[in-house]
Amino acid sequence: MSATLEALQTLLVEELELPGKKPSDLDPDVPVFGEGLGLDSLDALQIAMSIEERFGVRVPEGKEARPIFQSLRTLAAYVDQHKPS
Amino acid sequence: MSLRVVVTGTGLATALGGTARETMRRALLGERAIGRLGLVTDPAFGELVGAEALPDDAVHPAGTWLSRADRLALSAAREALADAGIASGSDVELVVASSVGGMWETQLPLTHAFRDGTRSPGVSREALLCHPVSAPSDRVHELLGPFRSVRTIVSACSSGAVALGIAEGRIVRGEADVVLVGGVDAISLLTLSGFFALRSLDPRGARPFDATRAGLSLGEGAGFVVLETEERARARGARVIVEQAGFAARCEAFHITQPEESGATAEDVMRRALARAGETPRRVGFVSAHGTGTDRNDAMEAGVLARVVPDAHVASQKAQIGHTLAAAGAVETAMTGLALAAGRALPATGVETPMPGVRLADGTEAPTVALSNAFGFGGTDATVVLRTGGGDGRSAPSPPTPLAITHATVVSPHGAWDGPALAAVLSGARGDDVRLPDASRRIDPLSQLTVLLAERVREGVSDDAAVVASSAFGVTDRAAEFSLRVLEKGPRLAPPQEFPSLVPSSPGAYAAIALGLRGVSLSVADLGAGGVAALHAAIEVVRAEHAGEALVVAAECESRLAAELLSPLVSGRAGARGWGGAALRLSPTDGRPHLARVLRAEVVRGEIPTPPEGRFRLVATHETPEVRAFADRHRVQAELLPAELGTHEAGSGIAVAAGAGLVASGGAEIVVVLAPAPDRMGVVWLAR
Repeated sequence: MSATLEALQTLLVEELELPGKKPSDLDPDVPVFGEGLGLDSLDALQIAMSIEERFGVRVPEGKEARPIFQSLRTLAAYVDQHKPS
Repeated sequence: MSLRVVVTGTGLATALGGTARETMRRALLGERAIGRLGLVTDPAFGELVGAEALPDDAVHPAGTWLSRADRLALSAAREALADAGIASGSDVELVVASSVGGMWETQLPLTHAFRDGTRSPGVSREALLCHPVSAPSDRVHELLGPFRSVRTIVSACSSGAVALGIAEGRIVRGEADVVLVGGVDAISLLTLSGFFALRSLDPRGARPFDATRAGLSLGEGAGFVVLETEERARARGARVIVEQAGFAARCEAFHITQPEESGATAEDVMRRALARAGETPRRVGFVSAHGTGTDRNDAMEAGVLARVVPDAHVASQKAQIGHTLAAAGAVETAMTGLALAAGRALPATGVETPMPGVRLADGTEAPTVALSNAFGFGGTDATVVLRTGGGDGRSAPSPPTPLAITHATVVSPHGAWDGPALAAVLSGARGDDVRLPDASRRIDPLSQLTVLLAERVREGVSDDAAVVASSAFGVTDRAAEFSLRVLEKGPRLAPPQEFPSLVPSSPGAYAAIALGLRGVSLSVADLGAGGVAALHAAIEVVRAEHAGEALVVAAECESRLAAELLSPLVSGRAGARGWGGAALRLSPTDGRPHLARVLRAEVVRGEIPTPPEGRFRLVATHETPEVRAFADRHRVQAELLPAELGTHEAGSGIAVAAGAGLVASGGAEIVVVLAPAPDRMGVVWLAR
């Protein structure tokens, strides 16, 4: 499991105050929105802002963001690809 | 008897022009006033695009501080009164919608106070008097009044329309003769940062109903109209501009920022408004859409328009004057009325690639009936119907439904009380223990408290109920924290999930969402009389049949800025502020058990009305010379809220709940509740 993926799990639990959840409870392969982790549009914006703050990576908005937010794993891959070295 | 509510005067101050004439001249030409925002010079915001309505050259001579919002409101209100040919006076009521009040001026002093301490020299006390969302209303009353009553309505981006609806209802029921009603919001760094954080701003300028639209543009402005009956207008020889034929509002109870994708509530509201106006969708020639230019709103609204009024032409004035937030519902409705009166519609502008299925107006249409939509954060959707001819007018209203407080609760640092046990509030005895939710970044403490209070009285409440909430200063500390973060890290890193909480109508909206309540939800502000103002508004909402019953919530959370600065300065109250509040369930009496009937609830600006015949007990939030004089005149003792409950402005709601407990426990046949605040008095009469 990549360090970025673990960092994202922690970020989600902290930023979104997911009750009773440990970072390792978040399934890295389920959809982030709707059925999977059940997050909404406001959560998406909050995560995007936190990712920008912590990793220096700008996540696109709107329709472009959908494939990136497919799962935590795809999100981590995007962050790893775009991290300033 | 056929009654029509008509507009006899209008006033506008927008980015298109400082008068109604200039705004309309340019609007009908299809001009767009969205451009580079010169007001904002912080480079962290980048090139911001929006619609300014005033230059930034305000001079504040000592003792006459006027905020940007004050100036816009005064300009438009003054123009509307002159246009209607009336001066203010004892028969004119004032209703003003706003969401950020004087925040352009007060945000920095509050942020400095939060960061450096409330005694720091960076804190301008004069500026802070402009802070409450009720401040522009008070300024209009002070400088253009006096008015018979003064009320402030907040329901985010639908506030202006809801204010029009409230005014219309009062006239229809014969409770008011003439109302000066409108809305105002000025640009503020708070709203700019907030929409920036939500990534809702289109850097190219809003293009509502364009297939490639990418967000909204913030504007500012004020719009006021004078409403009265056609009969009264003709009797005094006033010119009738247009008829306000109907109004409806409902709450989506879905999400604090996102609109319902299906548009089901917006559709319902449009149909209800038309039904109330005795109109059919086919007669609607023009719709002034909410049309913010965001992907979501316009997609939802286009679908609704296609279903409800497929033959109407559509335009959004937000393409021309930006999104004026609480003012929008009033400004755009006034503009639509003026267009109708001129035999025109307003043209759609800013559209390069039209969305499929949207019939855009080009301004040459000559509608007889038009709709104006306004949809707010937290989901209160509103529609106003305007008409220049035809229709049958309204029948006389039925006698007012008797209403009662059927449940009530108080939560405080001293415990909680429900129902008849509320009688013990006044004795200083502790209440039951109550578990408060843990602090959260996602939902602010005021919203948490409001939801908690509403949940305590929710048993048996139908989902047709409304929520009417009040708070004097909102979540000032959180707003300052948010601002501080923007100052330190720039708007890109402002936390989006914290912005919705900063809109004064959010606590009530959160309660409606949590409880699934679909009746119109709104907030009011009236300093220390806010709880009474909320009860009054709730009575009106139920009497106008926008909801079957209502939950009234008055709440204040712990706030260093309110305790150390705002309450002493603005409310004239010092001492341990505390936190807490009350919720009341207001329902038709219908023969069901109740705590107390509500005979009267209003915030008066002059003489306290003489209570009904017979002995009564007097409950007051605290003692003032006016409370003492009233008590002496009627030879009663004022029973005051105990110090343990704190000195905050939600005491107004707590006092009403305590009064209801007194009646319910058999302690009194009639209770008069007084909630004093600077230059006003909340007055409630409760009876068995």
